[in-house]
Amino acid sequence: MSKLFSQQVPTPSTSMLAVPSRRSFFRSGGQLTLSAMTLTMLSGLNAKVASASDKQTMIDIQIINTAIAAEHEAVAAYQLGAESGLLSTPILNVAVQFQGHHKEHIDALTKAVMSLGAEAVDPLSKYEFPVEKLKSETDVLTFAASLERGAVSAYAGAIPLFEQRELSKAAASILADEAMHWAVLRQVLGLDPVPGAFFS
Amino acid sequence: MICRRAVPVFVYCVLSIWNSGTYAEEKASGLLPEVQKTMPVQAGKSLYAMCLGCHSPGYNRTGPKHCGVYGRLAGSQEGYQYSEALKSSSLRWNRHTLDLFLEAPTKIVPGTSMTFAGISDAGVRAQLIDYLGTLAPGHKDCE
Repeated sequence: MSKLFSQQVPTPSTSMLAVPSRRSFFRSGGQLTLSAMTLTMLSGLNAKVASASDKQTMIDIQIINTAIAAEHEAVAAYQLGAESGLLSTPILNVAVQFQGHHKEHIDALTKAVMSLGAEAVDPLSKYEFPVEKLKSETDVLTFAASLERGAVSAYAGAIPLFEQRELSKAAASILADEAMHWAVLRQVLGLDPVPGAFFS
Repeated sequence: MICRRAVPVFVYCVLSIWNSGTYAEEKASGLLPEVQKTMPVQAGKSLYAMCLGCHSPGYNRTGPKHCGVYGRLAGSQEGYQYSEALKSSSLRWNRHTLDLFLEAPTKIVPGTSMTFAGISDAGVRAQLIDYLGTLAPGHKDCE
């Protein structure tokens, strides 16, 4: 697949994360609140499920691990965008912030899987992205927006399947974050940030 | 009162123009069936946005790529790590099996990695399947 670029799994890039923040409407302290809430929701699982023994728990684990796999891919995609050299500094800051959110999602979901007595899936050794189509900042943002839009649907489709309400609540919290990412990216692209009242 | 009389006249006029003008010409020229065929595909392509969290037409992601999915044996896309459940399902993807799977993936194939509640709207599924059916190798979305 010469047309595709195999993105090596990104290692945490401290230099990327250390990009100085700028005063921008993009930046807020919301991510900490979201993360804290999600972790609080998931922390209650330990008391309820001791081990991955029953069928429904196995399904919950499968759902979470699928989500973790998608979150790992999102981290890799943002890494690709951040390293592309196509993003201006303010946009790069936002991309790195969003990547950080996805890493927090992975941390929270991994804790959830472990609390169910199972192992979280590891990131792939490499990811395939359509690098040849990413020639401008707009291309990168459009690509990122498409992933975030799809993530909204993925979480919306997963939420009804959870046996445990705590997991549904946590997934809904993550869904909200993905939706905000999508809206911000659309706004930057000059599109209607919220193009409808319902999304599935 | 004028408005009450005018509205039916207006609707009649619009319908008359529609029936006797462009619509009739398109129907006569055979263009309309093509339009009718491509419209659901375009709608399906738009709906495919909901799949992009995990799938892509042209490359494997969290989910397998969709190019060539129509007619493919489930769990057989090269380079993708499927669940044992899907690999052993013996499903072959066609309109009927795709419709069943998209409606409730985890019920049709318990243990599938596609942990998605499903699409309850049969019309939405049909449009998505229309689009998936066009994704033969060589399709521009597969590049």
